[in-house]
Order: sequence, then structure tokens, then C-alpha cells
Amino acid sequence: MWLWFHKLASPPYAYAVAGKLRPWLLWPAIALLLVGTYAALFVVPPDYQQKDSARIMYVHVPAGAWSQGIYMAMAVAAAVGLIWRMKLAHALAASLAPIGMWITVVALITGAVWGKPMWGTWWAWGDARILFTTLTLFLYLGYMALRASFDDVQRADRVSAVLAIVGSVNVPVVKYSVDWWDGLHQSASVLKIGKPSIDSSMLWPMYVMLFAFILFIAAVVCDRLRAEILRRERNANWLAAATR
Amino acid sequence: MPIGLRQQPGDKQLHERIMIATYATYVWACYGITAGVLLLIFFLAKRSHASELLAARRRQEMKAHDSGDSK
Repeated sequence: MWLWFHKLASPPYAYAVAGKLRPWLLWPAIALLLVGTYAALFVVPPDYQQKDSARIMYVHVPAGAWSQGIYMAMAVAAAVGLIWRMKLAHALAASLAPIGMWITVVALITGAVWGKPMWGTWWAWGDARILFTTLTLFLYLGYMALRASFDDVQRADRVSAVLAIVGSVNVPVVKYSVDWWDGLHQSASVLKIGKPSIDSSMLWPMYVMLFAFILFIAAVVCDRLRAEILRRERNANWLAAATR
Repeated sequence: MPIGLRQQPGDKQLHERIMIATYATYVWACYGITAGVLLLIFFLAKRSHASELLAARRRQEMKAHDSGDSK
């Protein structure tokens, strides 16, 4: 296990593994996205209260959940990079940030579009989950801006890692915001401890979409990580064989 | 519908399915935006890797060229 972990920290090995892994993640992701979308739009029965607008949850919930999941992965990678001085971990954190940022944008926009017919408003400043998810977006943007402000890559890695780690406090706040404060969002019904309080006919496409999203994100991260490795290892000798 | 078969609750007409009642605009907008962003992050990542790969290949060619000149 540790040998594999150490091996994975080697840029040439990680570059090759990411390249081999990418199609195995991408094609199942596309297949599952198609199945999940079809089921969400045409198979799942309308919600008894929200009617057909509830179909929005099949893109909103995976985007919201993975916006936080990617942030946590980024913070863990940044911490590994900072503690064990593993350059590849910093490269992974840097690769995750733009993807996490876009997924958060999807969560916020689909949430706003769902909010209009259900709550009568696109945006509510009083809702803690909306507020802290917006903070997640600014944390991603801050992380990327901070990285871009340094010419020295190692310094950029260290400083941005601190921001990523400190910002991870926001992740449990987003998760439990619906329990801690009153707002427009309902309490957890899918991703919660114990049995989900949602009917199985509406639940399985949600799991399909959650899984499809993470496979797709992982495939995209493979490309981003490979680009980041090439950028950092520009003078390395192994590139001659890898770029042929 | 053949005689003797009753319409099931899930057997909506295609038009109804596409319209998804009164929330069609909101639902389709969300799926459209999501698909657009997923495609965007996919192509941005692909382009980022392709451009770095091209730059790395050029550097390798220049390196090989320079080492050839020095011999």
C-alpha cells in the first residue's frame, strides 16, 4: 500500500496512470449520465408537492454535493503536499480547483432556477446553505487567484495550501447549515445518516447521477493533472519518452 | 391503444413528457446549463493538456536540436 502511494507520488508514474485511467472513467460516466438523465426526466414520477420541478434535483444535488466533495479532496491534497512536501499532491489540488469552481457554479445556478418556481425567488440572502455555498465559490476563486499571484510555484503551493486547509472548515458548515439554521432549504433527505427519506423510485436515479458526476469529474481531473504535471516538470528528462 | 388494455399512470404522451407540465422551462434550463458546464470543463481540461503537451514536445525538439548543434 505505502509502496503504491510512494510510486504514485512520482510524476512520470502519475502521468502514465492518469492517462490510462481517463477512458475507464470517462465512458462509464457518459453512459451513466445518459441513463440518469433519461430516468430523471422521463421515468421518475413527479413529486407530490413540487410536481415536475423536483426533476431539477437530479442535477442540483450531485453538483452541490460534489462541489463540497471536490473542495474536501483539494484541502486533503493541499495538506498532504504541505506536510509531506509532495509536489504531486499540490499539483492535484491545483487541478481540482477550477473543476470544483465550475461545479459550484452549476449548483448555485440550478438552485436559483429551482428556487424561482418553488420559493418565488432566485436568491435568498437569509438562507445559510446558499450563503455558505457561495462562500465555497469564493474560496475556489481565492485559491486560484492566490496561486496565480506567485511566480514561484513552490511558494504558490505553500500559500494556497494554507487557504485550502483553512477554507475546509466551510464544508461541514454547508452540510449542516440546513439543521443549524432556519432557511428555505429543506433538511437532508438523500445524503444523511440512516435511511434516506425519499422513495426508492426517486432515489436510484439520484445515486446514478451522483456516481456519474464523480466519474466524469475524475476523468476531467486526469486531464488537468496531466497538464499540471507537464507544466511543472518542463525540464525533466522523462518527458522525452512520455511526450513522444 | 388495443382494446382491453388500460392506460397505465406512467404512459404519458411524448409531448407531455417533453413539456414536463408547467415547469418545462426551469427543468430544461437546468439540464442545459449543467450539460453546457460539463462540456466546458471537459474541453478546457482537454485543451489545457493538449497545449502543455505541444509545448513539451517543442521543448524536447529544441533540446534535441541544441544537443545536435553542440556535437
